Amino acid sequence: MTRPLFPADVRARLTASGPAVPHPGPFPTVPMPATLDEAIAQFTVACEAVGGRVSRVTTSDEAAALALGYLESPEWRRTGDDLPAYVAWDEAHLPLPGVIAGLAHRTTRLEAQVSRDAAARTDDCDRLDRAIVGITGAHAALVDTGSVALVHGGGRPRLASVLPPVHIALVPVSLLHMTLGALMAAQPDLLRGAANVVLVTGPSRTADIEMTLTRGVHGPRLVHVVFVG
Amino acid sequence: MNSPSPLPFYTRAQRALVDDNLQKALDIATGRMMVARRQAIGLIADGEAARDQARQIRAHTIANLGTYLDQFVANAQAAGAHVHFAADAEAATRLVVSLAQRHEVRRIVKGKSMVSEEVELNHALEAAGMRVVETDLGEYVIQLDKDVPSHIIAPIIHKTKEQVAETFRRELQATDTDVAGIPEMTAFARRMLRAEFLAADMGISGVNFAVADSGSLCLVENEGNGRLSTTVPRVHVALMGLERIVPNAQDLAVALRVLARSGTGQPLTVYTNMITGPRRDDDPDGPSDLHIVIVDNGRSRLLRTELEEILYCIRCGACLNACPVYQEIGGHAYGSVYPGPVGAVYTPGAFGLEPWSDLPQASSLCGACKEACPVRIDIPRMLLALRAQAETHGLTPRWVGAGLHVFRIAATRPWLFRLASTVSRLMASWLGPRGFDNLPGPLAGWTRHRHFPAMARQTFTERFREKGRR
Repeated sequence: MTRPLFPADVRARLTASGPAVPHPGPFPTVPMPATLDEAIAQFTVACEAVGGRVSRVTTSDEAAALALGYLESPEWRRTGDDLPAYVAWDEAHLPLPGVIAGLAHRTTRLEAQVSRDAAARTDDCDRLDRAIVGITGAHAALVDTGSVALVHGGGRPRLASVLPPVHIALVPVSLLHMTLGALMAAQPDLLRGAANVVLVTGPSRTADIEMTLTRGVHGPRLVHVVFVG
Repeated sequence: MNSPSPLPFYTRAQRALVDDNLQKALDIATGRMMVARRQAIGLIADGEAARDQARQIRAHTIANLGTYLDQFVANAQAAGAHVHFAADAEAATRLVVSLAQRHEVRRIVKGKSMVSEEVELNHALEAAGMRVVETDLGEYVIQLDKDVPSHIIAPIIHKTKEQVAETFRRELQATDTDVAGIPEMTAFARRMLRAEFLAADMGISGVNFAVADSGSLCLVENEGNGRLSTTVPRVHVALMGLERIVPNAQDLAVALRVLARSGTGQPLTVYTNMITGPRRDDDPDGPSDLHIVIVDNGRSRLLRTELEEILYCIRCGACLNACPVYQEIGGHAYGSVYPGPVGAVYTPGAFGLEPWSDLPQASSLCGACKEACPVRIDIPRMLLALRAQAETHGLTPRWVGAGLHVFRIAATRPWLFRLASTVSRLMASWLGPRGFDNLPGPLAGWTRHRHFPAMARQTFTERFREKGRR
């Protein structure tokens, strides 16, 4: 840089003066529940309290059946589409990769890549807007808030969890953490490692009009967290 | 918005007090938000400890703001973001307009951003021929109505659903089915705005926190409009107040632990969106360019002064809901983008005391704001400091000085003080318990919207004497 970002007068005020104010150090994290079942039970209470749904499966057939339930429900059907459409993270990033094969024949999988070219980009976004369901993996699940952490990157599109009206997140049970603080303490490089990390805590909502809670605004109306294992 | 209304504060407050819709909305909303906050903070065992930790983090960061800003800028640039500095509102709008022109932008979607309202960005972009759409539901209604938000986190707290329905019918030709109820109106707004998102070239957002050691931006929201604004368009411009920094991701987790609980009573907002640079090489989506505009606009002049503590604010809105003055007059009466107790300090502090000298007077110094604040900012102390500054600069309203002068004469002469209290008590027993509720002339302002406290039958001195005798 040829010229400093902050002008001299601002720089002077930014510089510390007066007694030192120490950093408080790391905040103690809340311990995990004793058993996995307890952790999942707590997560479920927190997630359902914000309007989310929680299931636990072991096979990709179970996961596919769950996704088909939404995809083939008349509630979401779009006129003009032969088969209901969905968008998903790449198989390599899903804990049950077989779920994609389980959806073949009865659904259309939309290509998730969005072009960097301005004109093609709009077409890509319009195409993805037809998806009824978005299927993602997750990087972590947070017990105390019922959140899932999505780390986006190659094969893990951001739009899969925000454009469609239904979001299904497949999460291995081994990825449960008690709090966001615990996750950040365990993985201090989490943010640096990806251009976008999102915590999803329940379905999209607003209370702007007369403080009345309404679910499903710009993001999904249904968020279904599916624990695997 | 950055300049005070031509009407004096007193007149604006007066209008708010006689607005029945506003009074109804404020009663419902501020009450609900306070209950939600108490429950949410009470729910976590470490709630009070988290507040102490969050305060200490904010205090440490503001004391060392230069160091952390440098770290943030270096890391954000290393991640591929372009970082800009805007000294004031005019520089900020000029910069964003020129960025939009450089990227050949026609259509812009905006997530909620207090800073963009503070610098009046929309006017400048529209004047440059761009289409700008607010995408937060409340802000969208505000934009359609050409109104201004009245609450930091609940911008249309002052409108009823009937008023919103009328706006949608008038501005967007909504049908009766579209506005049949709140869910229908929400679905209608989703449809209208989805088209805007998909066609937008640029997304503009605010920033809740910026993480120094990774160069990340953190944006929190519930609707999903913030995520769409920062994901769909090819360019993302983030406007960030100079003081939004936290040192690292663990500190961010603490700040988030208290923010949503204090703001809306949620454990976390629905979306906590953390952005580190633009789309990377193998990313399938996301904006190709990220511009971060660090806005000063009066913030740095608060640093290293007796008002520095107001920069600890994490913009949760809890002090607004807790404030008995805000509960009665709402946000518009303050005339500033930042209303309520925090705004009564921040506005004169950052934008100048002279045009805003009446805001620090709009408080009974009851301390409810300090109690509610997740980072325990001592707002009453700073309100007093600003009143003292106003007095020094001859900005105190004349009637305050005159009133205090009369009080001083009476209070320093025991015989006169006794006489005055005897006369008041005689009048009180003559007029009855609500006798002072309709004071005449200029004193009517005191009693029009509240009860005058009932007079005690005995003075403190009399009671003290009796107790002493026993």
